[in-house]
Order: sequence, then structure tokens, then C-alpha cells
Amino acid sequence: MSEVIKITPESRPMLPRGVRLQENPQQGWVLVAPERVFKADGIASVILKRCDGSATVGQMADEFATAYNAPRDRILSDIISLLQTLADKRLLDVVP
Amino acid sequence: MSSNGGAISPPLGLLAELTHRCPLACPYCSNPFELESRTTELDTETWSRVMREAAQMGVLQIHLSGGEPASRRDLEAITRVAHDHGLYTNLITSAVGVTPARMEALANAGLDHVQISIQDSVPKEADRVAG
Repeated sequence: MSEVIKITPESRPMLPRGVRLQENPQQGWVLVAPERVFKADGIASVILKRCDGSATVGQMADEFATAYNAPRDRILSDIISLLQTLADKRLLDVVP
Repeated sequence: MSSNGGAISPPLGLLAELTHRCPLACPYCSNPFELESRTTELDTETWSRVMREAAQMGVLQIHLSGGEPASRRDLEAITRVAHDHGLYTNLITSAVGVTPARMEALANAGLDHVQISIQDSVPKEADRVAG
């Protein structure tokens, strides 16, 4: 259907139409998609909240490295790993 | 599954049979034509209460079904109410009689996803199945 998305530090990730991140009093942060629901843990929800098409993956890594005082390389690879998994499931898109 | 000590987890989805009216007559359909007649269908306000309570309970997604949900004139209002309660709205429809204008109105009301039943790629065979 659509081309395979490869997440790189230059990608600007965004949630496609039909996929929403929301907080539910009972379930916590969840990613809701067609006929599917994914629970987002603390780290995933922090990353997904930034997936609005405004920031690149590299910029997100910069921000989180400062905010959480953690090694940028590790953060970058964790972000790419999560977002690539979601993109492969067609739950994530990138700004063209 | 039983991370909460064996208690049943809150439901994730709600299947809302908004009506039993339907223009089709698919033989495989498990629903009767008139389990509830039009006059005894839940009104918009009642559905609003049900959706609010469901969302508070932990429900995340609502599947608007039937019958043919598009048979309800207040489908846009129901969709908007579901969206306002934070529910992910999925419309399950044959799309028979659903015009582009109505689909646009549903999208504007906050509809997230649509499932369209297609019986066959050949009109004659599709008609044979759907009646």
C-alpha cells in the first residue's frame, strides 16, 4: 500500500489520521488505532507526545538528553527503535 | 491479564448496535430486522449517558454498528458525543445510501475510522449475498 518508512534522526514523526494518543483515567496513556489499542509506558508516552510533526528525531534526542540527564546516543537509538516498530505497524507516519 | 489480583480488567471496546433497521438482507447476518423497533431505540441523550459511563469505566473505542447505523438520522450527533467523551469512534457500515456529504459531516463530527462491508467485487454476486 504505502512505501516502507525508515526512521532516521532527520525524520519528523507524526501520528497519521486514525491514530491518536490519549490519556484515560483507567488505562493510562494509550495509542488508539483501527481495531487496536496499545498501552504506552512512561517513556513511550513522552516520546509519542512529541510526535506532532514539529520536531525531528534528532531534536527529540537532544531535548530528552538534557531533560533526563542521560546519554544522547542511547536515547536516540531507543527513540528510533520504538518509532520504527510503530511505523512498521503503520501506526506512525513522517512529515514528507 | 490478572495483574489486578484476578479481578476482571475494564473493557476496552463498546459495540453499540444503534438500530436494527437495515436496507440489506444478508443471509449471514445474526441480527433480526426488528429486535427493537425504531420507536424503542435508545435516543441520542441515552447513548450519550452510556458513552460517558463507558469512557469513565475505561472503554477506549466505540464501534457504531447495527443494523445499518447510517439509518439513524442522529448518527452525526451520536458520533460527536462519542468523540467528546474521548472515545475512538469506528463506524461499521455497508455504506449503502451514505453520500460524500454525509461522510464529510461524520468526519467533522470526529469520526476516526470506517469499516465498509463489501460482499463481492462483482455486482451480481454482491446483490445475491446482500439481497
